Amino acid sequence: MALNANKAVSHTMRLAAVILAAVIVCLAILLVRAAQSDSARQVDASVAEQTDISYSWWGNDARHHYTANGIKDFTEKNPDINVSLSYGVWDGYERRYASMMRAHDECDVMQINYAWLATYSPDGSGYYDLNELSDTIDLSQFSERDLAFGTRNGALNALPIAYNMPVFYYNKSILDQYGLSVPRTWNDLFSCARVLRAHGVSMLCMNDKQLWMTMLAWYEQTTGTAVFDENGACQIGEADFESMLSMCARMAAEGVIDLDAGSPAQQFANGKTAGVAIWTSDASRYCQPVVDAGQTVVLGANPGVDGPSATGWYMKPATMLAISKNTAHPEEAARLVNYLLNDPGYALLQGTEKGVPVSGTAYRALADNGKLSGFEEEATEQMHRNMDGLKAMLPAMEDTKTVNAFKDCLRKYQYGRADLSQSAQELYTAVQESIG
Amino acid sequence: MVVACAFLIVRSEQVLQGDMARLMGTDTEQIELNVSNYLTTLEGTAQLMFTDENYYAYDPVTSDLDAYGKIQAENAVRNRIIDIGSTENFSDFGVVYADDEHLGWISQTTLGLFSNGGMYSEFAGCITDSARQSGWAFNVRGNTDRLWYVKRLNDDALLVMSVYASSLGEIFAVPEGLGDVTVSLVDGSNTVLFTSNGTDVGAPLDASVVALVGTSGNASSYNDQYFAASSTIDNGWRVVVAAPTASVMEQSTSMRNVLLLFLAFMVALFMLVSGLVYLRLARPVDTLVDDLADRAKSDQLTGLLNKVTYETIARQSLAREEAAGCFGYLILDIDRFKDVNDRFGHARGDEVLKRVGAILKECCVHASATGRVGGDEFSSFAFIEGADEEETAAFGRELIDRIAEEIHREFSGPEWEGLPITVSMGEAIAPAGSVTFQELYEAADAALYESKHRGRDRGTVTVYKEGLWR
Repeated sequence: MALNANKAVSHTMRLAAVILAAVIVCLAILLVRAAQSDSARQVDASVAEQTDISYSWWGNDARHHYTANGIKDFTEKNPDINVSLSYGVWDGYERRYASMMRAHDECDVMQINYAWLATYSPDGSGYYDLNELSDTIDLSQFSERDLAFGTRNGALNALPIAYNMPVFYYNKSILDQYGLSVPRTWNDLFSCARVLRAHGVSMLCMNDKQLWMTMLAWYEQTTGTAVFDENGACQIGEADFESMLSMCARMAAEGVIDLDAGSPAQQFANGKTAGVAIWTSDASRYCQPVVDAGQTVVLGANPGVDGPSATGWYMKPATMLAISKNTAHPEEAARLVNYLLNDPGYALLQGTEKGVPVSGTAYRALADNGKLSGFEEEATEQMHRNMDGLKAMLPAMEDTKTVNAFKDCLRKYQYGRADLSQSAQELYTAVQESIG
Repeated sequence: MVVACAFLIVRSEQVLQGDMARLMGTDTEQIELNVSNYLTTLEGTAQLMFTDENYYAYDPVTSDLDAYGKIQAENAVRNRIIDIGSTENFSDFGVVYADDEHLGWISQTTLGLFSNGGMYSEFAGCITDSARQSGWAFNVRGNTDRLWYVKRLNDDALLVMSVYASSLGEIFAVPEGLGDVTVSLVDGSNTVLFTSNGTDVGAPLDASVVALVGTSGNASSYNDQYFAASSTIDNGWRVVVAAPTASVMEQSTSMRNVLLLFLAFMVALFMLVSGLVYLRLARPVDTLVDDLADRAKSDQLTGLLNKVTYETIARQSLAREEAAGCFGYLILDIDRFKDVNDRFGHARGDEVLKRVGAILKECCVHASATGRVGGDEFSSFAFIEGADEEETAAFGRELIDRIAEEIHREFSGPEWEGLPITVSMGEAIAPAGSVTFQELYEAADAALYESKHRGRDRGTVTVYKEGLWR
């Protein structure tokens, strides 16, 4: 009897061991599941700890789309950062940017215009000194000249994305249709205009800023004197402005330009003008619709008195990236700047939409993938060929108040609201006030 | 307990599903409010074009202004657009006139949609609110990447604004804790204008979701496939939030599985503890009880039945037996056993009792009961079915002889030298139903006395026949 009892207890102990093992497995599963729940909560917590920064830019549809896609890529690669976006077209953006800067409500990272360095950071303290963020931003991808463009008073305020200058593109199909050659001089423009005008086509279409740039070049070429000296001071008088306004009026009267024909891009796309003066970085936006319409577009030389000339034409960074001096998150902002400038993937998204990138990694990414072609690359190549004769643009040259004054004074003279002298005097005064 | 727990789990899931549906409805309403506020803000921006007639009243189609006057008027409109259009991320913000000319920011993308004209008439057709002379539109000439708002400024002018549909991503705060939620904005025909997952824009809303939220109005419902809720914006568009039921209930299902696992664990633990308690407590007690019962029925020295048990079995057998046959009642007494104890001690006496008991048990394997009924007295009781008195008596005599023989052999060894052990036996034989237990016992006892009287070491058999013991 005792033996049987011992056997029963032994069997029961084995059974108990099996059940105990099952219990341990159950407990392990419960613990694992509990750990998984904890892990999920931790993920939520990490999302909640994102740093919010903002990025503003101007541009067109294509730029808005690829930038938004790039930011999505950036935040996926940097899940601790959330980027809010602020964008618009150039005209409104400039005013919007001015109000943001005055109110100290600017975004952490900003696409800026070269001229704004002088406006908002005359002593170099208006933007964050990117030299202090060189551990995050790879500055070795930029040349000394690139860095010099963004440096004011020793502080690296901004980095260039690409370079820009006014270039002239022509609808060669129209020129060929009327037996015309691509213009090379000012006189060529007038000669072509005489032919085209008879067919209701203008020679050139350009916005007021490009017309202003063109007049600066014409004046410097024909007088040997630059309108602004190297410090940005205006070194011409009322009589000189009279000659510029007079030249504009003649160009309008003889069909070289159509002052108020509407959007230059539309005019060029619709075949209502044979040529456009545009920024290098805008080349595709203007030219591609013409090509898509089955016509041929060619890059012309910047006109001169006796032939193509670099004199009077200036180059500048197309767009630049800067960080707000008021940012609370300079490190995160620097990571975004580095991505936008140096990331090969983003370079491929951006292509040459802003011009041929100056960043070494961005340039190589495009070159390695066969993306260095097209209108921007062609115009940039021409700019590089003329680099020796090109001078760096002075911010005063594209000062908004100056350009607006030029636009208004020209209209008043053109439409008889003021005579040439009055208009020139008003322009002179406005320029002097603008440059301080 | 399992059934109760299962019921509670199912019931809690039902309650949870109801709560989740209400939560989704509330979240949807909140998102709809966000979107409404956003769209209202955009509409408010458009309203700022009416602060001065220079902005809204200019009509180049009918204007008699000269060229310069038109330029000035257009500059005023442009400046206003620049001023108020920079407050949001607009993809279009401009005025389109009846002659299809425009001022402000009408993007190249939009202009490209109307390369053959028709821009003004297309946008004029987007005005769905005749009282306010405004309307929201989507999928204008196949463009699905922006949402349009059109507001009439005058008889020949429309303010046209648009925002990228993707920009709603910043407005649509996807609710957390509701699984894989998709937030969509749909128009009156349930065409998707925007989704948080970035796909399906321009496509019809998932039919499974439509089955829950319908084609208009506000709703919040669920089935096996989806949880879904909708909330309507002032312009007739709706915010629809949907999530697969499995996704929404994932945590609940997980918790249910954990609970079931826990329940199984508790049941297993309960069974384990119960088993152990039984083994450790109940079984030993049962064994002890059985042991004590056995001990109460037996003679501890010889292992045979004790007197009470023996006589009880014998009495019951005698009273119960109805078949034809005979009973045999044997009484065995060790001769002069007192002398054994006196001369050799009780230990040796006990040894004698054990051996005699063992012999009796071995010889009486056929017996119904065999017991030790006194100090040195043993008894065996048997029923031989179908046997008559003579046959039973013969069997009894053989038994007595075999027992005597075994006793002699057992106690003939050198260790028993000087200690002659013999037994006297008496056996009573009676047909079934003929005598009582007492009578049978007394007859056997008398036969034993006869054996003693005749000189011991022998056995006497008495048979009850024809009313007499012979």
